[in-house]
Amino acid sequence: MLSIRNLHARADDMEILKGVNLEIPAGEVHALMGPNGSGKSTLAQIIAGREDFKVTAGEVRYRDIDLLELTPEQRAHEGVFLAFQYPVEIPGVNNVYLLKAALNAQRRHRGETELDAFEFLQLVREKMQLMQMDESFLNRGVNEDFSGGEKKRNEVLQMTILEPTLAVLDETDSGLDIDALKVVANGVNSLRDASRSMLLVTHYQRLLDYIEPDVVHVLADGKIVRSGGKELALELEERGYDWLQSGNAA
Amino acid sequence: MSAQPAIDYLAERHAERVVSEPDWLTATRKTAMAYVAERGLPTTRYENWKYTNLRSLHRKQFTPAAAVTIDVNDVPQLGANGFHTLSFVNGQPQEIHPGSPAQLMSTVFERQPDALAGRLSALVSYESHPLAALNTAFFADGVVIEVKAGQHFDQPLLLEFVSAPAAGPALICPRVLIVLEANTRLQVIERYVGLPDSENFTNAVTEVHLASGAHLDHYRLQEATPTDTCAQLLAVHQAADSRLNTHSVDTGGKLVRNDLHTWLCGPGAEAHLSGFYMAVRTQHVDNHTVINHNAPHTTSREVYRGVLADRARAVFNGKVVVAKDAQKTDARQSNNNLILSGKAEIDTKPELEIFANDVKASHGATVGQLDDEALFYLRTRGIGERTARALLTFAFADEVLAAIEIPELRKYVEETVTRRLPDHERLAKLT
Ligand SMILES: Nc1ncnc2c1ncn2[C@@H]1O[C@H](COP(=O)(O)OP(=O)(O)O)[C@@H](O)[C@H]1O
Ligand SMILES: [Mg+2]
Repeated sequence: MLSIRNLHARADDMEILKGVNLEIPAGEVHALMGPNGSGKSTLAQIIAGREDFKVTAGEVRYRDIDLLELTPEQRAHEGVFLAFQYPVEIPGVNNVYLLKAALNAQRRHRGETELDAFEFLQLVREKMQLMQMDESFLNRGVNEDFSGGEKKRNEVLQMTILEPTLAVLDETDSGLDIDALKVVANGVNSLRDASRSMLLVTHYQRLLDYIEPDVVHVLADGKIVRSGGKELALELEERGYDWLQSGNAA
Repeated sequence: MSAQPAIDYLAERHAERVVSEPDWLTATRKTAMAYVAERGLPTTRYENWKYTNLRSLHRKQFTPAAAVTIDVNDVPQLGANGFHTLSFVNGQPQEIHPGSPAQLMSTVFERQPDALAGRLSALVSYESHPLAALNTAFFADGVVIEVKAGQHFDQPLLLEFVSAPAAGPALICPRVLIVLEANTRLQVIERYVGLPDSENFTNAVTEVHLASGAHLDHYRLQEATPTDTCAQLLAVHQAADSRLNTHSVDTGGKLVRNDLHTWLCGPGAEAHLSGFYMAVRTQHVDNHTVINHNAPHTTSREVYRGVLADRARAVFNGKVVVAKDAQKTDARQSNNNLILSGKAEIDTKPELEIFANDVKASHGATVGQLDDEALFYLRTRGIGERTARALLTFAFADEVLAAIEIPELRKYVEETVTRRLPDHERLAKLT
């Protein structure tokens, strides 16, 4: 599904990714952990199409597509979704307007008919219930004056409506209390199936209690330094990252 | 037009058409004419005209607007059966409907020659607003709107000033006088609209007197053709506890200059000014506002936003003057600009002159581009780049347009603005 080979990327004069290799087969959920500043968000944003980063070597393939050739909107149409670590506030653009625009853009691309107002609202209501969000959020500006937790829920709401094939969730669990965490995990799990892949960027084992990963990777200083089963996350929780980095350097 | 022969020519043409006028008005016009003859049009040497050059007008031989016949269907309708409407085409009044709060000035002069003496032009200083002299000298017919204490007009009054192609460039001088007696309320829309290929100069003056507790919502919607020049002075006198809400929207015109001047002269008076301008290609839009806080406990809020593309140029100058006795004044002003092209330009300047010592006053001006983070966010949701840009631009504009309280008007203005955005077809489908 997703195949990243020897990915090098930089912003300005700084090399951030220094040869990332990552394979996520269809149907699998992988966790990406690692210290602050190791390049997790950079990787997530490059997958989504951020142009601020310059890819200097390597490739990112998704299904049979060279992802790096596509614009962010084309990637979205192909089923790539990024839940932002810091969802952007867009005053003046209604949440519901964005949902409709996003869904219809995708459906047009796939040659499907656009949903009529009734069908659309029904779908949105159903997903909002799943995410335990009040309908008043629909007519507010996108993420405008949302609390941290509300923004994260809103990201997952969008995801459940767009039903991506490849979802990258960048610290969607950070700043959530345990109830909100369960709601978010529930939303994510509702999408899990054999045709979808997910990459969960997280610092915390507790998310992985609710969304069980198939593989856990550790990114340190722009490289994947360790991959393992879900028990690796438990080990990291206990021991931190230092032992891996020094081991790697040696 | 600065030369005496041009003035004489205008004066002769004008005299041929104006048959009878009260003596006081003839005298007022003479003074105005003498001012124009002596000073001509303002030049960039005037402090308030530094960035707006009227040179292009000098080369033209303007004629006072004469009657032209147009097909009203050529004027885009503001879809409003619920409005009292009074239209002028090149300065000539069209049919006036019964029940309207508006009267033609010519009718008032005929019936009560002295009713407006001392009122008309009372708020106009030629030194501060030189173009008002040109209007006073040459306006043909105008509108008087009086709301007497106890009168109610639920429907908005729409004044439409249409600029249509004439034999040559026409000078059109709309003139409006609004008087609201104590505790009355009115919504007035002044719409400046044009038909293609006109090269006219519309130079309007609107004077407003708000008695205590009176409330005026004033909308100015300027959508002239891109070959027309438009200027307007809106001058307002506000008594205690009166409220003025203004909404100024500029999407048209080649060269546009708006002056808005309000005097808050009684405690509790409030002025809320909002404005939006969008300029593309080589359009030039200049907004000069002055708020005089002359009494204690007065409040002003001013929010202007602009979108500039291509080589367009805009000027915003917002002056707030707080007199020595105007303690407890509360004045806030902001001007935000969105620049869509490296070649567009904005000169924005707040001016605070505060002579009292117990005052809250703030101002802020920004000039920026579309937010890259927001653009990326929208694109990751599948919205194409051009559509995303249009959406963000519209969102920026709509934060001021949302203040328009008349639903049909808000819809019309939002559609007008939307039509000027790239990829708007796609946006319209989503609303
Ligand atoms: N747009 C950018 N320009 C310059 N440096 C950046 C940019 N984005 C991220 N960085 C730097 O790249 C490094 C990795 O950042 P990031 O990918 O956000 O790490 P993580 O998500 O793992 O905490 C950090 O040192 C960060 O300061
Ligand atoms: Mg990060």
